Amino acid sequence: MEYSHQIFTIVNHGLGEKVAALTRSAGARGGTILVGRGSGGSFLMRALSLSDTEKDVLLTLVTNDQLEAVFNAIRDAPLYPKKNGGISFIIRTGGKAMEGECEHELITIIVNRGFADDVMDAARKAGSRGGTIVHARGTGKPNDEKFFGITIVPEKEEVMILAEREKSRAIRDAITALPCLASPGMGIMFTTPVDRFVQLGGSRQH
Amino acid sequence: MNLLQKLKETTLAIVPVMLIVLILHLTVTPLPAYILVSFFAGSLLVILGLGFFLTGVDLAIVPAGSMLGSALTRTRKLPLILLVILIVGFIITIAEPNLRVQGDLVQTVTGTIKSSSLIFSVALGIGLALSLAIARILFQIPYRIIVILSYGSALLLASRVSAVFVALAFDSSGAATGPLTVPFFIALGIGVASVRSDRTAEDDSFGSTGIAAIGPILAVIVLGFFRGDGNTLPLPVIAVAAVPQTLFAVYRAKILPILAEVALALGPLSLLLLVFQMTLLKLPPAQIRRIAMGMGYTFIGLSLFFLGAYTAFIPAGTEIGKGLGALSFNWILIPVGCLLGAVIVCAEPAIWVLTEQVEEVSGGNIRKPLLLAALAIGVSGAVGLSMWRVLAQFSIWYLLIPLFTLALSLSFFSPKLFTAIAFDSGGVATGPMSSTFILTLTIGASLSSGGNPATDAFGLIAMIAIAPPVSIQLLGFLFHRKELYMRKEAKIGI
Repeated sequence: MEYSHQIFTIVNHGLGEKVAALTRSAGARGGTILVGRGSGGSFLMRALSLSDTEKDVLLTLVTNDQLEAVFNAIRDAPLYPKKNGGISFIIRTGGKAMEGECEHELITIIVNRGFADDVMDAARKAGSRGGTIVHARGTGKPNDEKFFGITIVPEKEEVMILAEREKSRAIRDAITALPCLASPGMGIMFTTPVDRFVQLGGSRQH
Repeated sequence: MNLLQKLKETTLAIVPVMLIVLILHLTVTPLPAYILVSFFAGSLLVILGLGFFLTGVDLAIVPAGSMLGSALTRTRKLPLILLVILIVGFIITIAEPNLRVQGDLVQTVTGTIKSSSLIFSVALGIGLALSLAIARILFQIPYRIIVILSYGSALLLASRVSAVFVALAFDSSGAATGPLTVPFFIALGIGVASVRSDRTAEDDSFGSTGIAAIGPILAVIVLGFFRGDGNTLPLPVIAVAAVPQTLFAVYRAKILPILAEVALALGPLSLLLLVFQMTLLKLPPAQIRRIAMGMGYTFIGLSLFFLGAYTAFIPAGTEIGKGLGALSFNWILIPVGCLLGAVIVCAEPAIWVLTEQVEEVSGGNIRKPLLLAALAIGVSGAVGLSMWRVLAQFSIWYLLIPLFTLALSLSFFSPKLFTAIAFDSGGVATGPMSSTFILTLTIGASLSSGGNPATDAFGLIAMIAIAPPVSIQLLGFLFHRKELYMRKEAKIGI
């Protein structure tokens, strides 16, 4: 059995487990939940630094046969608030390369801790609507710094931004141009094509 | 949005307290109208204040503390790390508003100990204990050993000095671990632990506050050895003259001193952060903006919270306590105490910060409601027992020694992470909510039922401090067993 797709579901904190339970009854074998911080909201709320919301990021690996049932279960779950219910999208984990049909890209930026908000600000100015920030740490190289026998690893933040294909370039350029990320070794960025994308809550399918 | 979410949660935490007071008012202890009105108005302020405070802590205090912790560790200069932690702990503690109240109180009661020398030794105690806690994380000394040594020696020394200093020691520790110091200490510990790559890093994220809380106890007891003994026991309560006056007059009288206090507490912290920003942290602009906004929210939140707590909880607590203690069926104090203990601890600001951080560090594995439930059960039992002691008048040591022994021996059976959280909670549970409401209620009850208010009050604080280490470690024990069981059941996980 080979997992062919990974479904990302980003919902309000606390809903992750419930969605995961639904995916399991729809056939998925399990799931992994990351705790993240969403940053969307209006201009005023951002100016007041009040736009943060806690998010659960649910990662579900599925096979080709399971994909439809699981994705539909996520989309149709009666759990989400009407406004800003969350998003769910599918990424292909192998197999054939994508055809030109996908309209969205997932931009992933991994930077040193503390810089994620600057990245988000830049992305928003370039047309992104929001993103999700997850805490992470680097895995440390063999010759990393040692301190009392403890390996000291760099703390990281991973920013995930889902962007329309035509805006993706501008967003990436804006992030690369950030002065506080100018010195080398500040982080990495890559994009992944997104198969399908749905906004949760309400029934607006994209 | 986070602020709304926080307000929703804090409302849920305070409404039970309001309901209980209302029920008591309607049944056994009718309150004067002006106290009831100011209680409900103050409760609303507390809800608002807590909401803003927690938002500010999330934005500013926790990120700043943990980034400072990890930046310090990354310098890999042990003397520098320990010295900076000592200074930070010292300065933030000196600024804690409750501690200054405590200092003045001690000066008036003992006459031999100056307010400044008490504050100095308590702050030094916190600073030293905090660097010990951080050194422990770096040297990877098991938490259990440090806890057994420090709590054991505190208990041993406590039996050698007069009861005055024991009471002072516990009260000072409760006063020093306030709503501003605790979140920062917790964050600092998380920051130091988070740069480590090994598997025990998560276990070591907590526990620093628990060790820091023992610092003032040891410091004051040592002070007691040098300064001889006072004869009278202090009454650790901000003297409350419940003079009937209009609500607005009360607020007008309190608001300026409270604003000044909160500013005085936040000022040194902001200055410290500024210094570190220029030397060590060098954060990018968006981060600085967030921290500055967060500081603002913390200021608004703490001011509203203190204004509400002082005007709502102190008069109501005293009145209810007096009323209940004077009843012919005053055994009712015990169940009421249990009930209030359970709901009040869920309204402590620092408890919220702690449980939130636990949820985050454990990746959502240890949920907030679970911890709160364990805390509520523990503190409920502690307050119930203390009320029984108010009525029955037996020595506090009959309760404290078994509980301390239980807490320390449980550390052999509970998972390490839970032990660390448990002792942190002990230091955190004795916050402004319990000292404004449950403490005044106990003193009121003790006065009207013919007890000794001073020793009863001391007993209460010590009991609230030792209850969470017992109940949360028990929870950890159960949690661990369930986890093992579940792992057996389902071997597959993705």
